[in-house]
Amino acid sequence: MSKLNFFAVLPEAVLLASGCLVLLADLFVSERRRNLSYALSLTALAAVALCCWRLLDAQVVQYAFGGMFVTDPMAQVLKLFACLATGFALVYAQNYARGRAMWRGELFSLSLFTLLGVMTMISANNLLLIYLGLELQSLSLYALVALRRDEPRAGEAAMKYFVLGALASGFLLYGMSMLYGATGTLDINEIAHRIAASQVANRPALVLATVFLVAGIGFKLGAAPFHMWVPDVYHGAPTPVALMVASAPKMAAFAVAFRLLVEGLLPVAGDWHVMLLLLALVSLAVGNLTAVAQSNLKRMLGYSTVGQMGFMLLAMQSGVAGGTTASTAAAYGAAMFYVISYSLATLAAFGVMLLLSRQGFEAEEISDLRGLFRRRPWYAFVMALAMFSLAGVPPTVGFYGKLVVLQALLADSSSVPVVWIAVIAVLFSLVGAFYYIRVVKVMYFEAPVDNQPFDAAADMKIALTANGVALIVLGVLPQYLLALCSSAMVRTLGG
Amino acid sequence: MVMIANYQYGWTFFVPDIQKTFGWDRASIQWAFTLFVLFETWLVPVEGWFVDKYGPRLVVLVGGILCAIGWAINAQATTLNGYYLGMIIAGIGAGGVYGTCVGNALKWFPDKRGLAAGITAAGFGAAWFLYLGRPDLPELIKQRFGGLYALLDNKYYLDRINELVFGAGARLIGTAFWRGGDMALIDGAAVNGSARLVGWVALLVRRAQTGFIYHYAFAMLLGVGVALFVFLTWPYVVAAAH
Amino acid sequence: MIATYPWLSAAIWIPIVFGLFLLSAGRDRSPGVVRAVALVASLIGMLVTLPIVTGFDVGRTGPQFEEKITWIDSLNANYHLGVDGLSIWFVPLTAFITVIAVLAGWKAIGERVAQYYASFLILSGLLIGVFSALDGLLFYVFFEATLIPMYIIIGVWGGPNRVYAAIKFFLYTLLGSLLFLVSLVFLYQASGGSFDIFAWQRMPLGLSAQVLLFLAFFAAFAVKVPMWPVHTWLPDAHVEAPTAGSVVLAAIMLKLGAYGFLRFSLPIAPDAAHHLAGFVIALSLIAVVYIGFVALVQTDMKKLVAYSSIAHMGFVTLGFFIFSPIGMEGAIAQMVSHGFVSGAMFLCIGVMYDRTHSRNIADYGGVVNTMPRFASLMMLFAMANCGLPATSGFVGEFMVILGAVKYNFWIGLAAGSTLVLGAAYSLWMYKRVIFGQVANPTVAKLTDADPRELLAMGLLAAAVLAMGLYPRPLTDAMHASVGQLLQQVSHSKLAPGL
Repeated sequence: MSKLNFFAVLPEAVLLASGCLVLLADLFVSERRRNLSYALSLTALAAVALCCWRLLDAQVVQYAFGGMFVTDPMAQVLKLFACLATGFALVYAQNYARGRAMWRGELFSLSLFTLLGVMTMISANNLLLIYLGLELQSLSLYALVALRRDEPRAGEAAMKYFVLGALASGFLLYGMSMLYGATGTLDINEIAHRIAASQVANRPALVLATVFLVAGIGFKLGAAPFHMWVPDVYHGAPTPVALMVASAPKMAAFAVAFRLLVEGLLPVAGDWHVMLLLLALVSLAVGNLTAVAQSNLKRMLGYSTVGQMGFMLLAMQSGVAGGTTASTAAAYGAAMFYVISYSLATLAAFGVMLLLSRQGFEAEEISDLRGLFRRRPWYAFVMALAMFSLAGVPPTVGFYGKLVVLQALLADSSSVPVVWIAVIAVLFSLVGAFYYIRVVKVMYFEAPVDNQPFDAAADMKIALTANGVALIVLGVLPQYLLALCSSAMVRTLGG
Repeated sequence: MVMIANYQYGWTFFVPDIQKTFGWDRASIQWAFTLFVLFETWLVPVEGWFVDKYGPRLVVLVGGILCAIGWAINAQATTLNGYYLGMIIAGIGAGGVYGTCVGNALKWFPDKRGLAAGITAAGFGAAWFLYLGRPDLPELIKQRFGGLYALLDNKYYLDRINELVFGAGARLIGTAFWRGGDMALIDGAAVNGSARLVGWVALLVRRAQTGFIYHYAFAMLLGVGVALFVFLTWPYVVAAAH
Repeated sequence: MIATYPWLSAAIWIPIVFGLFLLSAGRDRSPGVVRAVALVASLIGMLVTLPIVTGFDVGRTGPQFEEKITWIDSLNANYHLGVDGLSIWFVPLTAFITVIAVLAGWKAIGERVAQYYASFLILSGLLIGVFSALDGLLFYVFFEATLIPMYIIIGVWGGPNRVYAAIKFFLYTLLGSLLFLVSLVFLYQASGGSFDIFAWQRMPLGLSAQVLLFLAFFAAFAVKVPMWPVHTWLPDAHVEAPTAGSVVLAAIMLKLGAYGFLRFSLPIAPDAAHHLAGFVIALSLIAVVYIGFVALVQTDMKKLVAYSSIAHMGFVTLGFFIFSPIGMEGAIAQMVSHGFVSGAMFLCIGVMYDRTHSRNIADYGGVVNTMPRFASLMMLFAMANCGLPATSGFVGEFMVILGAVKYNFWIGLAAGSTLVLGAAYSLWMYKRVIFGQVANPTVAKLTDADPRELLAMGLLAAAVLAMGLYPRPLTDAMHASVGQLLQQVSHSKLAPGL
């Protein structure tokens, strides 16, 4: 346990090295040859993904850096998809970034460092390492949001993200300090051990700590009432950065929630699962209802994220209070599948938006998609698949996300009235379905207003096509991804 | 009796037109009439036997139908033989009707057989009289007995009752169900109403997103504050309740 | 009975594959080729269902042509297909109606032809999937997935108010389906982790659980049927959909709801079904009578036929809940007949609409003078809509009325009112549109039905007459399964003493 165990941190090491390399290399590369940095970044991401895959294959649970860092199957699955998300985000960013002087080394290196922060958060087994990863990820993202210095909305979004993020980090840190004070250790496994062995005398301190930790996690996830940064940041940030904010950090937040709450604070689950339930219900309501009134697609996707995270929180609060390891594993496996399918759909949605953007034209209003069916039917279809997946309509992958979350919810054996909560959740999903199919309506049923032809680089088109195809193929054959998530979670909790 | 009378007494009025249309000579055309009378009169004994066996109603019915067929054939006929055929069939029918009706009158009024038979036969004449003899009389009758005439002409107004009560009534009910029930209540209130409600709530909730950072921060602090209050005091509330 | 050849899978996936292939054709480069391919695809889809019909063993009660392979291991959901007496006739009906639908849109659709036909073919495969799915999750996936192509069909190629109609259709049916999803997950838990419908049918359940499940099922299926009062999406959807869309919607998609009652509500929650039978019967009778009156006053032909569809489907749900063999067989016969008849009625309206672009009765009058052949075929369909003996419409209605009278005289009487109301609205519409003098110059310029339209109408007429004159094969095939279902419904699931 006290070993350094470099092997376990191989992906992060590769990523760190690549990030620094890209940063340096970009200094010596001219404007015309910028694609070199781009290619380098993508290669780095591929290498990192490969390392994650190797570690996942090994199906091991290993600790590194004296127990501060853990690598288990859940972590590797999440890291793999986080790499994928970041890679796709960079590929999709081309059109947009090139036209707005964003296509620079800072974009690539900051993205890689964001991913590094995400991966650190996912694998952290120590309170401080969680905070370290969180800060690394957040600060990189703040800089990315502000990358378009001359755009006032981006500056406003960055400011809001920074200030509110600092507040949330403060909550998290305060909770961690309370937890340290109550248990006397920073190591998550040790915390769990000490609480279970009833070595914690100061119960109220524990509850206090839990509240602040949940607040911090809630902020990162975008759960109400800590969600208010989400629509403004999604709207103001440059679209590829909004995509980066929407995809990988959600996986990190999920992992942190898992580490802190399930691995660390499971004995207090009776309290925090109710907190998560309340967050879930308010998020479902606020997210789905407000999205109905939006006309800006990015803002709508922001609110829809709040709603989606609300649904995911329903799974995260199940199977923990009065449950067994198996039920917890099933519930969190469901939540993991949900966050992955959500990321895939979000990638596709933002991808189509980015495809339509070009110099001087921000394709961010819903009405900008008008008549896309008549202009470019294939991309309209990809966008439609993304919308139906987010709405949870079969045969897209999003449906199975909703299904397994409902299963986890209804299998919950705590005193919560699960059937009624399930009914409320699906009713809000119905409200959600409205604004998703509104986007499909605009694309398919209306005549195009803007008939300008648009095109993109080959790799972006291929990536978008693959993304769309994945949504439906995984919708018809979801068994592999479902099995991956559930087995990873079982192995992680059991091992 | 009235209805079949015109074969006997109205035939002459058709003859000139038939001659003009087809150019046959009068003698040949009149053979049709001869055939009619022959078949009318000579078959009456047979028809009488039918009356005794099956009752007058059936025989008169069949007779009426045959007369009708006869008219129809006559209307379509374009050859002499066609007319002959029509009049033969009509003759059979007319004989059945005449004989049966007169005979029936005698059976029904056995103590005034003469009068009964006479009035029955007068039906024949009455038809001729009203259609051909004094054609102005039907018009006068209609004017004098307007209401009675209208009642009979409109088949006792049963059709009108159908149209007004059942037909228009059904349409009224239908319109009430459609506009009142479907459109106003179900679509208007429930379906579109709930959609409008969601839209209204959405606009309301949207106002919470003011755009000011300090509002957002305050919301977060409020969330934490409420959670702290609830979760720190909850065990004591539960303990106090027990 | 495991199938030797995967005929059901072929019936499902062949149209879907053809549809996807047509989707990739993209733009309107060669619409003629697209139409030909679509027709061939629909015919192949029809041919593939024939072995299922001919090879069906009428005496057996279990599922036939079964196929079962593991699908989602972690959820214990299987790709489990099969047909029994309840579902057998809907598979060829769907394939047949798809052929008619392909023929119907031949000239009317000019743009995005490939996507249009692709949507119909994919929809056809998905519909057959619903009828043959024996696994709860598979059923739900197919059931929901049909929403997407129909939404697109109504919204892209529909009438002026198509957006409202499409969104209404989608959200209304989604609401019911989401509640159905919750009940499916509940059943999964209660059965210890299985999605097998037959396992659920055998599983004991308490009364309150049964009632909640029944209501959740009811939410989904009542909207689909549609039953009063959740029927208002149908007139809008039908009026705005293109002709072929209306044909498929009326002929097949409404049957999904009724089939759901047969497969889920009745066998899984029999006690609740008995408890709530009065409620469902009342709603069915309201549908028959109330909607009959509403149909009478419509001025739009398609809306009239849409309301008449609702009234006919009221008979179906009535037949189910009187729990007698004749009622149930009559209801299923009515489902099949309604598929033909309403499909034909919408086709006829579509034939006229293609020429005049009007569905208002007031714009017509005296069509018989210019379109005599069409008028005579439409007469047959209007008569079948009334339930004239010797047409398929009579079979189901008569059996259900018989069953209803035996159950309760007044219910039978109320149900029998359809004979009057149905004749009233069908024949009155027919008279105002077809008979009489030529009413306006548009009618004077009408051309009689061309060979393609006559073919489609002729096929449907043959089906209507065949079923009306000799319905025996239809009812024989369902006999065993209906008997088994009634047995299941009559056995209470509650433990004795509860």
